[in-house]
Amino acid sequence: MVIIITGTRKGIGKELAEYFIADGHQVIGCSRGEASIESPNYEHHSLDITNEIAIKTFFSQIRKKYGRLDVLINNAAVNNALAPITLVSYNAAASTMNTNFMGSFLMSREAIKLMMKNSFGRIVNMGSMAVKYEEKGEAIYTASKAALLAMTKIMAKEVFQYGITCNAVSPSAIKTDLLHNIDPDALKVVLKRNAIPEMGTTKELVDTIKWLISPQSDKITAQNIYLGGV
Amino acid sequence: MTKIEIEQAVIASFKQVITNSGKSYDGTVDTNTPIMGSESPFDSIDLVTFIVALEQMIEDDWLFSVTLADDRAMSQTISPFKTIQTISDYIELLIKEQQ
Repeated sequence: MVIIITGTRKGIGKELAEYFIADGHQVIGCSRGEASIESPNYEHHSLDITNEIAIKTFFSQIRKKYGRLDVLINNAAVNNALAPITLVSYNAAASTMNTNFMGSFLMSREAIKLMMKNSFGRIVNMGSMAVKYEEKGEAIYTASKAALLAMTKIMAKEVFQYGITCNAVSPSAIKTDLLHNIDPDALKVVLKRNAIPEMGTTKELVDTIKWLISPQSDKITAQNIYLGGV
Repeated sequence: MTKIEIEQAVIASFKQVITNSGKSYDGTVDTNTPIMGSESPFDSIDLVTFIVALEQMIEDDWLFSVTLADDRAMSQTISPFKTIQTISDYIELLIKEQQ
């Protein structure tokens, strides 16, 4: 399959890309920075996913080169607004919303146009347990993920007739750069609320996504799957 | 490409969408044919397919990317998505701006 994953330079995105490359798929990754994966089955684009013109050009290149797109995984996310709402700057809030929500919207919109041609497609958006727990200090990040989940469900209704499914996967906390600014003690308290009170792994994320993108999952759409017993 | 050629390309895309959707359309397809509304043979799926086909045609034939349903299109006094004529006019405008 031809798979686009956003935010592949590091963290979860990189691990997802490496897994799907090893599984024999053609992976097209993107991030603001340069590639950190080398493989004949990997193509990297240095791309700002909030730039509409750059996104259009990116998809034009994919269409001309591959003529298809099977899977889009909207993974790229930032949390630039980790503070009580009264201390969050406009720019921090806007950049978080732009990357986490608007970027995923632009990627999804153009991906659907390409997927429609083959009457097949899988869009997987990365949610967050933050939406369920509504933690103080995470208002903007949580709002961006809540918006993404709402879009996922409505988009699923609009594109099902084209053979495209849209789902979200919301993992428990996984070790990434996004966790660097979070108080470890506070994280422990949050994790204790989960049925599985420990850090999540990329493997459980991969397993879930692998199932969601399989042809057999053609009737699984408009869902948000929490991992780690959230 | 002349205006007439643009119109012909749009009409060809229109007919292709009708054929692919398995519908039949008894009327003549010309520049006055509506692409939206109760008099159009298009349902919402056909309209989306049509717009995407036009965007890809522009990309292939004129080598630039465009989003037809952009903010400017939505704010036009006469919607570009009214008839084959209006969408052809809008495409012509976009092409001229690129030249």
